[in-house]
Amino acid sequence: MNGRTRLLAVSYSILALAAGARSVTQISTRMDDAPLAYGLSAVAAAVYLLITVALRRPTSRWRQVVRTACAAELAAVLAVGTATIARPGAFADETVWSHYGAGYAFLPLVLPVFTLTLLARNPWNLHDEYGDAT
Amino acid sequence: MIDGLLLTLTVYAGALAAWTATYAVRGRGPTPQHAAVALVLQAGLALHALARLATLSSSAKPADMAIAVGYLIASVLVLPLAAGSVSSLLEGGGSASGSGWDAGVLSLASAATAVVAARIDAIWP
Repeated sequence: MNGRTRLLAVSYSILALAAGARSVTQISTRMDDAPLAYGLSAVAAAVYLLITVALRRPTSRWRQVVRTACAAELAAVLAVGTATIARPGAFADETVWSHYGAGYAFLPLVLPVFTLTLLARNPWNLHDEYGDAT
Repeated sequence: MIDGLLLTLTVYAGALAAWTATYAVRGRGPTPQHAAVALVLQAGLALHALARLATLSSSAKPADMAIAVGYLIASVLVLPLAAGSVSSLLEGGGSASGSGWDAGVLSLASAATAVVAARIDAIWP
């Protein structure tokens, strides 16, 4: 794993930790208040964890997992972000993806764009010290 | 006293983030001094978390206890999480073994720690 990918993996692991801690505490203490919002935060945490794991695997299959997960996450950020702006009452509470991830310094919006750009420019960019193992 | 410790840790983490960012920009890896400073920060964060938990019953509680405890747990996990990705830091630092990306990882983790500490300060009365 090269340095750029290490930085990406740590960024995603911090997001996974933040979103995971938030969703676990919300779901365990007041799930009934906003089940959709808290469920979305849990999904976000799971996606970030998956990307963190996939970034550390230097194979073409895991690169595909990174690409798919990042594309799905970007679509979710855009959908939820737009929904929270167009209809402020759409969710009973804030989610990780509300207002395009503003509560997380817009990292949920910026990171998948950055990762997908890297992959589009050169699929080997993520693991240029390893090469393809499959 | 706990609030003072938290403020100190916030400033300290911010300073470490800025210091390591200058190394990242110059393409230099973290040094043993960075590792030592990060270790002191981690010890301070652990001490702060223990003090908060120990005084839970006697001090004012945050409005949203679950979120506050979540932040408290996150505050002690971010740096170890990042250190696992920085091999040169685990080996004791040194620009010969690390790269600017390693310094970037440490800078990012320190900045995230500063943000978490600031959030704790904002929600804990």
